[in-house]
Amino acid sequence: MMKLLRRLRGEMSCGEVLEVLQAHLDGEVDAETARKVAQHLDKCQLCDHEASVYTRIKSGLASKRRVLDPMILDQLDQFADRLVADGAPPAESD
Amino acid sequence: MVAVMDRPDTSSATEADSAAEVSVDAPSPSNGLDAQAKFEQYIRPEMDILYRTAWSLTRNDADAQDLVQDTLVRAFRSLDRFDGRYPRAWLMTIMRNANINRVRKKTPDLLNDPDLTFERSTDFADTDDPETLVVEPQLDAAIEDAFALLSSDFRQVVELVDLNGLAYQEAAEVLEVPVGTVMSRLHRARGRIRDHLSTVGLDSEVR
Repeated sequence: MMKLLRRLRGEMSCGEVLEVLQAHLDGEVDAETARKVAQHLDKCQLCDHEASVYTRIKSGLASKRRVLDPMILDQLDQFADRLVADGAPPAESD
Repeated sequence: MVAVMDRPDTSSATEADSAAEVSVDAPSPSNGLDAQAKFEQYIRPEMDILYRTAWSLTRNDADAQDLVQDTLVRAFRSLDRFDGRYPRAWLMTIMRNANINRVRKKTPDLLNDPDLTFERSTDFADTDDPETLVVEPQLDAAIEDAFALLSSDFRQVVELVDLNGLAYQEAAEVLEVPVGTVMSRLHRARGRIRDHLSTVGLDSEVR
């Protein structure tokens, strides 16, 4: 009965939410799906906790992002400046 | 349902290569304002991500720098044929091909590098909550341990998306696999990390 009501209201089940949860957290679902997932997470503690766990995993991984060497970035910028100013060198056969 | 559908799936087609790469005989874009403006608009903002991705593919600074420079030159030559859509994905295709050329079919030693070993994070000093001070480093350590246990295919995709910040389609371009493969590997990889948190009893500590 609940299932039927949910379907009639266009709401997602826990299974459906868990299937797209990671893509949702990555910003890779369409706006309508994002809205439905957010609506479900507002009401469902279990799925909301899953979302928190995956968000924490993502932030834990992102915090290990490599710090880029500013000197190399500067050299790449200078290379780009020369490329833009002088044009690309002739292509080698590859 | 997944938004990647509205992006062009060029990951498995060789036409992506031909669109991204200009032929040897093709004229390079003129040094006029148009090419410069396009370079500044589409390529310059991607320098950081190009370097991160190049590092993921080469595992060292010198080769990464060479690969970025090669990618920049190839992209500059192809600018007149680029339609302005999805510049990062376009650049990733170019970088993938440049890298294939660079290593001459040598399998890149992705992620099997001791440098990738995470540094234990200790920057939780911004909270006074004793529980947070204990749990957060434990969570990070557990995530690190679980990441280290992943197969190289899984770690590779996690690195490209979660550490380097690529979208699914962009990671697919770099790896030359369908976007569905990126999604499946990434989700299974994170699922394993999640399972590890559960096994060590830390998943319930996430707030």
